[in-house]
Amino acid sequence: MSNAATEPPVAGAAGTVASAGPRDLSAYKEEQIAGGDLAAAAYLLLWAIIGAYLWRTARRQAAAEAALQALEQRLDAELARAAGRTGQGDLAGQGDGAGWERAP
Amino acid sequence: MTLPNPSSPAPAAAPVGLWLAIVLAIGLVEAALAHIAFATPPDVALGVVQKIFYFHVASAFAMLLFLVLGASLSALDLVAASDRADAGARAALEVGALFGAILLVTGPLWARKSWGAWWTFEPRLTLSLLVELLALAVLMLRGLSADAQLGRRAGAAMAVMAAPISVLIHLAVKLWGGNHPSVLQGGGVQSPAMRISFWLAVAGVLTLASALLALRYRQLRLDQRHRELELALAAFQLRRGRHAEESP
Repeated sequence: MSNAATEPPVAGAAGTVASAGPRDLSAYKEEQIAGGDLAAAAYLLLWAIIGAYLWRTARRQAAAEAALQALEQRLDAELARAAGRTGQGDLAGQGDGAGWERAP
Repeated sequence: MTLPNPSSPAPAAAPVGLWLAIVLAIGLVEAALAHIAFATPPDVALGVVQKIFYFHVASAFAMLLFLVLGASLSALDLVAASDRADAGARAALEVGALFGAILLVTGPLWARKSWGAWWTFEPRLTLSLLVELLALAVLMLRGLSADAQLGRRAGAAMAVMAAPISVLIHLAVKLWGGNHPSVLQGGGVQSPAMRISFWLAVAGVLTLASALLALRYRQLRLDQRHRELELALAAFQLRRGRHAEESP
């Protein structure tokens, strides 16, 4: 198969530039790592990175939901207390009316 | 329930639907992995290590797409001061940086076998590293800034300025050469099984990235809602205190 995307570069070939990377692969033959090991490592790292992100985001979301629920309950309690004190059930009309309202 | 003037309504995405999308995306990625492992022949020249290619390139697509999306939403936030655009930009930059990390981890593993070196400072690699570091810098600025509004605007401006570099990554080989092949159209994958693996991997990665974006976006919107309610509660308590003082 001719696969231009995967062929190792040839020093001095058109479209390549000199880089710090060694080009003579024979010099590395003895210390070559098995390709299967590298591929397996790549896919393990892929899942490790995605799994860690997913886990962290799920935890953050659960914490955000809990904090929001607690705050809404606190807000409800404050309103209920205020309503009991004024006997009017709503403070919306007593201030500047800037957006306070009871949700349905 | 008492709510302030709803400038940012509660996030609409249902958690069950969101989790279902994530499970489906993971299923698609697994299907791609199975096709790569069992139905795709190894490369004649490089052998089995070439199988890194499928998710390496798909991650590069995801990184570029989501970083450009993040920069676009940052620009929108700078112009329109939209909380939704801000949350979307932050989520997109984060997911872009996530797949950038995958790109920068899988690349050296493949390069070690095919180039004989873990890393070379050729233009495409250097620009990819630079963009990843810029994305992380924006996210750190957003997360650690003492002045949230300043951090938001400075981060958005930085993201917008980094966008052209993302595009340059795509053009780097054509413009300056390097070890990467110059594949702007058509691609070098010829075998039908390899093509199926490649497009399955691209579809899987982009679907998973979109699902992660939706999950993170929802969480950021919940945080925005929390901050809004905190301010509302403080304003309410202040108003109630005044009312109590004025009442006989």
